[in-house]
Amino acid sequence: MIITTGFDAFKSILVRDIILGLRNQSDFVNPLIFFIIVITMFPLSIGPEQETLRQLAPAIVWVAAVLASSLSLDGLFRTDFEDGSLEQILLSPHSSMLLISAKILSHWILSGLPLILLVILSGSLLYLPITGVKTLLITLLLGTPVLSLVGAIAGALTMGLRNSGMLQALLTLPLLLPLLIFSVSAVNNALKGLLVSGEFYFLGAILVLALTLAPLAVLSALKIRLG
Amino acid sequence: METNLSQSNSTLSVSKLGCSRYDSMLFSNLNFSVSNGQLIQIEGENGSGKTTLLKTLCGFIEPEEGEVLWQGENIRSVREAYASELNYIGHSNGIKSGLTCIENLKLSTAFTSCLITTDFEQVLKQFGLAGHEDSFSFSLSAGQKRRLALACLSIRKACLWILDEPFTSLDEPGKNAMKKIFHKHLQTGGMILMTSHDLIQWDGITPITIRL
Repeated sequence: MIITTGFDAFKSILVRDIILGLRNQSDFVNPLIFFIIVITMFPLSIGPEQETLRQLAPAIVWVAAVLASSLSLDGLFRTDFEDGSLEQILLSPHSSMLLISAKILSHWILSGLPLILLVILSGSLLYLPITGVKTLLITLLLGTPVLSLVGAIAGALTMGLRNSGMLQALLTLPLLLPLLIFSVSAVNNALKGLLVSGEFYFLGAILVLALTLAPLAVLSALKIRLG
Repeated sequence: METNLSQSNSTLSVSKLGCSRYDSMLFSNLNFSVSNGQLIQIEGENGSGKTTLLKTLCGFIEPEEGEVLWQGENIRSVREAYASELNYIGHSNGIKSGLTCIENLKLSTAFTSCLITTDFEQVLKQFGLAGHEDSFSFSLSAGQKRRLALACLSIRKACLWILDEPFTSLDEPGKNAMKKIFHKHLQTGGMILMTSHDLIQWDGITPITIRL
């Protein structure tokens, strides 16, 4: 007899989703390629003027990140719904919220984290100076978990529907506007040499709000979709 | 796996249960109870609500009338205690096709509070999947996937098994092996609630039949 704790359960769901994500490479790599393509389209279409690109850089990176993350959300619950593992997750004696949080965390590790690494490279492409890249990285570190958390709500609500991808984008994008506004303004202020702690506090608050409420909303949405 | 499953007597009972699907009543005023060592076989035509009944018993669907009681209390109010004594397999197997057989078994730690064994090779052998330890489960046949699903279920310690068509796509040796496992589960104080289309020859088990 081996007693399993909530932590074991959390870990096994996390490891499972990361293994599955890495094995199914198209799901994991495609949004990243999409992100790079969107970012390279701007210097090519706007022209190589340093000043214009530098001004637009934070907005370009953030919009591309939001779109790339909404592309990767489709499979978050759909495959588990189709093969019956979602029923098993909800019937687990361990807290369903905990297991769902593990799924969302694995989504962030596979989509948000590589995105942040890519931004380090793409900063130079858009002539963003090092102070700007640093601030951009902090906003992404605070903001990309929110993309996964809010996206998971939409993913759960549209699970098993036709055209769920489009519906997810329509549901999440308006909710992500505050994130976009504070992040872009933080980078712009940093470039002007102003203090940016105000924006960071707001982004932190949004993250805490999403962390506490999103798993609850996801769980209710999943129960509605299964019932 | 010779451990006794339940120290005390357990019962799942259903009182005046009624369920509807898309505004049409499937069944109503259903009463029955299951206790240790009993196997309940639910029969009914296609569309009579067998799967809906099982999903209601698991708590996925809110019943229209009546309630489902575990140890005399509504399953909603004793969710954790109920979930730790419940193993369920629906129409879909609940196994991940991108994982190997062994990985699927290992994953069971997430779905139970107590694992009976971690000798996964032995379990696969018992379910006729020896030699498939490292095969991805998408490469298995439908019957082998069903076997793997039942293998995953068998290592999770739980008293009550709720199974939707467990014998689907199993061959004759597979069915017989499964019956043996059911027999053992009932002998150690377990309970099984299952649906099936076909007439099943039970040796040594007297199932209680419920017609919807």
